[in-house]
Amino acid sequence: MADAWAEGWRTAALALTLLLPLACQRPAPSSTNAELDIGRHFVAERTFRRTALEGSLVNRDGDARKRLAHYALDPGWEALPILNPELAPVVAGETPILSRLWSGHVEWSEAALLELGRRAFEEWPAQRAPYLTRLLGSATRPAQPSPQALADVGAWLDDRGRVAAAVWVKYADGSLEPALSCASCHARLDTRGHLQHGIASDFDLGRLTGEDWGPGRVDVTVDGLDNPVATPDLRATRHQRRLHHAGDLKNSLEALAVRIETLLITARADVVRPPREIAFAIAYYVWSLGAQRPPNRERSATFVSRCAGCHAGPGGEGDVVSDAEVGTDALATASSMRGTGGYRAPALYGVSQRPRLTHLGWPIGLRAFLDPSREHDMPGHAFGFDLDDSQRDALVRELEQW
Amino acid sequence: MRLLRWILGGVVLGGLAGACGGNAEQVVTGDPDRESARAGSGNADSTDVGNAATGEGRPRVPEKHRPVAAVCDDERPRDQVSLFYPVRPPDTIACDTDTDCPPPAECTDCRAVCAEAAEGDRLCHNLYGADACVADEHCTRGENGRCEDFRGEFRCTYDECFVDASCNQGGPCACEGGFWSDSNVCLPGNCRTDADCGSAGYCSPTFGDCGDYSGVIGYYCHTPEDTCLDDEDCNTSGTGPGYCMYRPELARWACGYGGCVG
Repeated sequence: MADAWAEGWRTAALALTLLLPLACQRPAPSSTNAELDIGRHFVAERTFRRTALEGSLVNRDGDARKRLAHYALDPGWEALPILNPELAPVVAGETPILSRLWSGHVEWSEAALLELGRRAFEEWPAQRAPYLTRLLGSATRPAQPSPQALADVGAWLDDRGRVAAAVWVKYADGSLEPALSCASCHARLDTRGHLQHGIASDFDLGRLTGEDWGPGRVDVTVDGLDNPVATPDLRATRHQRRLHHAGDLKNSLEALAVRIETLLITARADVVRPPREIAFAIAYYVWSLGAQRPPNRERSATFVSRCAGCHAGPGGEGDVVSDAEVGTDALATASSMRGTGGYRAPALYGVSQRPRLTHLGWPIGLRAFLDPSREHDMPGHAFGFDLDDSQRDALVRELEQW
Repeated sequence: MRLLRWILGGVVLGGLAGACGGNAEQVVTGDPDRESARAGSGNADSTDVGNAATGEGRPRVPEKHRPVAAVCDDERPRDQVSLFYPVRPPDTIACDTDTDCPPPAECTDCRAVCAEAAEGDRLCHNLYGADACVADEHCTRGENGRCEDFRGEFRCTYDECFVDASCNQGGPCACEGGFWSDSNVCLPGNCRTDADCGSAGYCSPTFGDCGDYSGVIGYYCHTPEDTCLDDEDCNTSGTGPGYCMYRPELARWACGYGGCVG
């Protein structure tokens, strides 16, 4: 009998060994019931949302103040009307065919929620963008933007003919207006023209709106400072210890869901709120983007001595590091809205694929980032500058595995 | 984000009448006839805006509204762009006329023009896209074409309109109301003058979200459901001064505080 059990375990282990690589190639992660439960609580329980908000806050001032005053309070933002407009992706030169993304129901399963989140990530109207009509024409008389006009603002045409993940939205007053989705800033074309979600785009919102931010950078904080920061790589979100470059929020799936719901409220002047299922589905989807590779890995002696002091976590994530120690600047850390006096040590998931590095969005790769010759133009974060060429090459190769 | 700019923007908005030369411009500050309807003083509570659409119970007149239609003038300054600061360096091909300049082979909607580059030199410039330019003379597809510098990108702008009747987006013809441009543009909205908003109603300009990014985006009637009338009604959020803006989600005016997604 004992032999039979042992043989059975060996067979099971062999099967697991053979099947594991297949599981790791799945495009979406295997979700846990705990994550789905978080979503259930988030949607159904105001006290859960309130606890998640309060538990996520590092500061209770600035950005947090309005949320503390209104979120998950009765009446507060609980009483806001729910925005669920007819909408359609912007397809170059085509008149939109409108429908509602949110039907009012979603099966509470991993597959259904990820699919809802994937669509909402690319189609939910996160930010009004009437200025896009200069590029797109009107919904009734759509224009075919030239490749150069798109390139000038870091926009794109994907393999479905969609423009910059923008959407047409029909509002209660009957108007049709363009809006940006999450993917307008947090997605990028691959070499085949297919849109890859999560990685930062080169979208230059400043050029469209008259601000000098540069591609892949935006200033979203109402703090009286001109302090644009880089659009972050959302594939790393689940691995971050803190949210935002300044690290003013403690990270968790429920904190992310709260943040997404509240930013969709504040971006619309606190007058409407998204369906709560949509907010959670987007968070759940973003959470899934970084689950394709396990975080734990071997660290070289070079990484341990030069990087791990800050990038200490299993995903390379860390706590907030003072701006003096980072050595780049203090603009974002001084923000009255999100400032913490430092910058988070970001998770390193997919770091070699990022088009820009650091919160300032330096348009360089890892090799140049670790090269001290960049310091004249891009000073700060001088860690690893003492490495010789072979050590630097080895560290870059190591980071390419993250 | 530059909060101060919104406040300055409000001042500028209120003063646009003067900014548009001799035109009867869209936005006025106060109206002697309607000022007589003012019942309250200064800083009204955000719920105390009365019925701006019908005038019933209205405590005051919006700071910015458009009592009469404008006729824009036909004047635009020329040669605002310096030819000595091209964002894309000119080619090294010397030229006398455009015919000396071969169009770039890799681009189907590009042109090449001969233009002054520096100190009297004339060199070929490649123009990428139909609206690209390096001088006013390259802007020939509309009225009063001018080559303007949009933070390093030179683009042609044209006067889209001179009177409201030329526009079909619901709003008025905004004299010199182009995006970072002195071109006349048609704006969206649901009114052109106060008269479109019922008797004693008001048609006002609105900024969009994220502060004054992209400036005035349209003109809309005030409604009985509005929760603000002027920017001064929006100083109560605890996150700094806001501004009164039209919300298409609700088809009414409400305070905005510049929140941007992200």
